[in-house]
Amino acid sequence: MSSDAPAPFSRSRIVLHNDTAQAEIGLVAAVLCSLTVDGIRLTETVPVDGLPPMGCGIVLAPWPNRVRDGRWQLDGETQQLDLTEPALGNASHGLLRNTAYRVIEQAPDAVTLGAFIAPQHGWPFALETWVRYQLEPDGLTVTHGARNTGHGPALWAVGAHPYFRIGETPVEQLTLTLDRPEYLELDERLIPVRIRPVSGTPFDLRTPRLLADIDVNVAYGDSEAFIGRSEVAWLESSDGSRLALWLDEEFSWIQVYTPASFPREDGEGLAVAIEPMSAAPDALNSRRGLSTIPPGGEWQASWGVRYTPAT
Amino acid sequence: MHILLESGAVRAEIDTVAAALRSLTVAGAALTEPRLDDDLPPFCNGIVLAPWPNRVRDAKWMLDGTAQQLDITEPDRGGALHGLLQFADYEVFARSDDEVTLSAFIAPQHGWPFALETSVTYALTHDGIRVTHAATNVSARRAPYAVGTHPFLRVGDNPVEQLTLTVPAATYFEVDERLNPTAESPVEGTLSDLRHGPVVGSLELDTAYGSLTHAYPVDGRGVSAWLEAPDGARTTLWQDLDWGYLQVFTTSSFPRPDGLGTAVAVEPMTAPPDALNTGQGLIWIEPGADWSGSWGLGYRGPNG
Repeated sequence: MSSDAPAPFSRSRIVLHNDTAQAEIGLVAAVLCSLTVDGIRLTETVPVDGLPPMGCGIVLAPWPNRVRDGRWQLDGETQQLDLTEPALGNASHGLLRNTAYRVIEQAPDAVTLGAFIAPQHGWPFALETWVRYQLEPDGLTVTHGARNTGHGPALWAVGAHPYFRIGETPVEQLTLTLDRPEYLELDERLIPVRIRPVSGTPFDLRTPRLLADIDVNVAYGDSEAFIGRSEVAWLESSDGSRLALWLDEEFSWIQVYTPASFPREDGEGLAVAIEPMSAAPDALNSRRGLSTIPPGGEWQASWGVRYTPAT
Repeated sequence: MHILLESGAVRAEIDTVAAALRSLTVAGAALTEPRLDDDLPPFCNGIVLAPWPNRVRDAKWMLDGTAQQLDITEPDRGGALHGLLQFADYEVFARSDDEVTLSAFIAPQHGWPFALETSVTYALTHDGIRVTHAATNVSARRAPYAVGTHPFLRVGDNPVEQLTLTVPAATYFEVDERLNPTAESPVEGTLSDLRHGPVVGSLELDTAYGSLTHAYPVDGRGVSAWLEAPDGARTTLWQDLDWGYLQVFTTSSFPRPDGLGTAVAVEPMTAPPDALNTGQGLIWIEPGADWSGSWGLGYRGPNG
């Protein structure tokens, strides 16, 4: 049976396991604290005694990434969100990053967590949201959902902020491949200004590249539609072991972020976040990927990872 | 979610969002402005303000020599207003016909490196309600704490502008143009003096008060404000003796079904505005320790 561990920063943690995989989930921000298959670490670890470093593992809802100046327009009216990134003057990563989710359903290998988003500054919608973590023999399936409990149509987007790795191999020695042909160019405040093809730019990750040579913090999208559920990104170790990230088509945007100074117990180092997002950065302004849920309507979509050991 | 409490002639409705008091009536007479929908409450009507009431200047404060940057929740004035739980959906921890306890976790976050388990208990009394706030520090370091609430008071159907408001407070906090406190001064001889019961219609206040003389002190609490109607009916606010502050806010544009009108918030607080910077009234809770305190409302009809 699953066990709850005390963890003040997450309120508490839930341990999931099956025969091969194990994951730890914290209630605050429904954070994915760790994931292993056959004892191989597939994500960076959120320490028990600290905040998720650099957003590690948290859920981003009802929008991922930034809203410029925390301001957007709804039916001709200006909406002003709280500024949760004061240094850059933006509203970043939604409204639930400090919220302790409730446990809705729990099994040894799965848990569903829920959080209500109340109408608030710059956000006049009511949404019941949830996240389900389901362990698989070779990885994890994460399903995000939302139900509009308000009287009018509600806007919605969701993302997740996992940092991936393959066991103890230094991240700079892994290769990253991302099957996406376009990226969003950013201004100095990290707000997108235009869509550009990756071809011929340092952002082209369509063939495997060593992470040591990659320095990005951009969102990738698609000019053609990606239909259904498909693999989109791969991390590979020189011994042939491999982690694949798959997405439902609703996750039409992917942020890749490679901080050189990700804090770990043994010091700072390179890490790689590959963030499934149902909408682009600043989507409340650009509407790129933004969903509209009718009153009483529901939305759900999944992403996940699969691990293949060296052969 | 709404929770209805009933006991005899007293009836209250509580919202799990911000642990807000949605309505409170005694024999049908309203003690507070009722909430009419599930939208963002107008002027913060009824919500709980924790772990600080009112604003933190520039959303910045110092903790043991380290600068803390809170999220800016009042972008036009640059402050961090009304704590961290004003949109939180509290959990129902315990419930009976006439009492409910709601709980919410305050996670360590930008500018707030502490974890607190907090709760709010609404318990009906013979003439109104008793509200008890509690906090347990589950961090490894001592945590500052302050709490307040934001009820708009009424005396039944009496037009609010015709009520008199009495607050036995000897000082008020002067503020700058962004409503940050600059000095605590005597109310004597100022328009902020509420010791002799001016008519609400004559007031224009968004003012914090200190040096409260709790009236009729008994069992560690006393009366901190009362509103009285021309016919003698009265709504009374009481606070624990260590709740030394309150904020009075008046507006002439409070939304009601029949249009905009005058309303008055009388907000019990354990600390004055910007307490994270001034330290005034701050409660420091040691690791593993807890704190609790109460305020409440009572009603007396025109015939006593």
